[in-house]
Amino acid sequence: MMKRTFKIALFVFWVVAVLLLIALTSVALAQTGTPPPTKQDVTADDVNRIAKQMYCPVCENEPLDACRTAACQQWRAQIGQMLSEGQSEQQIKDYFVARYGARVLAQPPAQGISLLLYVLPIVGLIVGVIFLVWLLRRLRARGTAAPVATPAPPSGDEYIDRVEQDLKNF
Amino acid sequence: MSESLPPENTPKKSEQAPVGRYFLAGLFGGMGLSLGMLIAIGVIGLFVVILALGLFRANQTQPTSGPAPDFELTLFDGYPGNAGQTPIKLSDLKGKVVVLNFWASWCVPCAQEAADLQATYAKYKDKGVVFLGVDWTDIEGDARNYLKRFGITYANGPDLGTKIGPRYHISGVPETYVIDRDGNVQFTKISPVTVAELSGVLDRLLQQK
Repeated sequence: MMKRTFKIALFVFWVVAVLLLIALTSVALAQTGTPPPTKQDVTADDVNRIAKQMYCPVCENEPLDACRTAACQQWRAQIGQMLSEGQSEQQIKDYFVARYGARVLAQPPAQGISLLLYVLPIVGLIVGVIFLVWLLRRLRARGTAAPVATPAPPSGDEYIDRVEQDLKNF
Repeated sequence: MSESLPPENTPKKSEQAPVGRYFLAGLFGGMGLSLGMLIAIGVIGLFVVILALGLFRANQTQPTSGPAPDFELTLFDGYPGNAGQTPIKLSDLKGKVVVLNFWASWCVPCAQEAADLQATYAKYKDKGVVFLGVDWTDIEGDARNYLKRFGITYANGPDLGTKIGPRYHISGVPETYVIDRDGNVQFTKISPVTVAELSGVLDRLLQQK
């Protein structure tokens, strides 16, 4: 019985882990997979497709495609200029990161302290599943094996016996 | 847990007793805390600390005195001014008075003070005063057009990686700092400066030996 719960929990854990991995890689692929427009006439949509993944420091909480300040207009013009030169989305983002820092990206790069953003949820999930499995096993063990209390052999010391007993209820 | 223990007369010590285990159980059990509770409290505590640090950092303001934060500025080609070298570090300019100006080509009030800054530079460039323009959050092409339009010749460079601005906690542009020969901030202005205002500060600092 106990083993079955454990197996089910383990199975659920692997399914979730695999799904998460697929989701993460597809996000990464979507980021790099768009082909660069080689045409000369760049539309505002082309620019905004990149701009909405960026933030300019002048508009703290508004993506670059929505910010109306003169600074952000310049940034969008620069993106359009670079697109018309045939540069790829990644090249453009790299240029902006080199000039203004990684903070311009809506999605922080998976390096340095930002790596925690990507690792912690997975670690949390694993720890959570382990905890859940442990809890289920303990509850099950308690439910079936409660009456079969196995008293520790008396140590001959009243205090030690008392502590052992308290620990069991702890 | 709150029941009374057996009477005091048998306090024998057992050699094989795992003391550490009893200690932990006694410590946390006595406080009525389970391991889960402790972890939860730890996590909440961590969040509070991170939040406090974030709020503290967000509340920091521009320096008005004390040591000026050091930085390295890579100058635009053709804009060496009187900085002496590129990239130039503020700490390399000890012994000189430094006028540090944050600006951007899209900034309207910056255009108001541009001519005044250049005029003040012309007046003091041979008197031991170095002017540094830091181009914040700007596109190089637009920045160059701006420098050309106002005939600016003092040292100018982009805030690469947006590192210098945050170090001075600038709230926008323009902002001007005057740093004395020992590297201390002596003047802070969070709006356009004028020739008269800047000259007053520079004359005072140049008189100090």
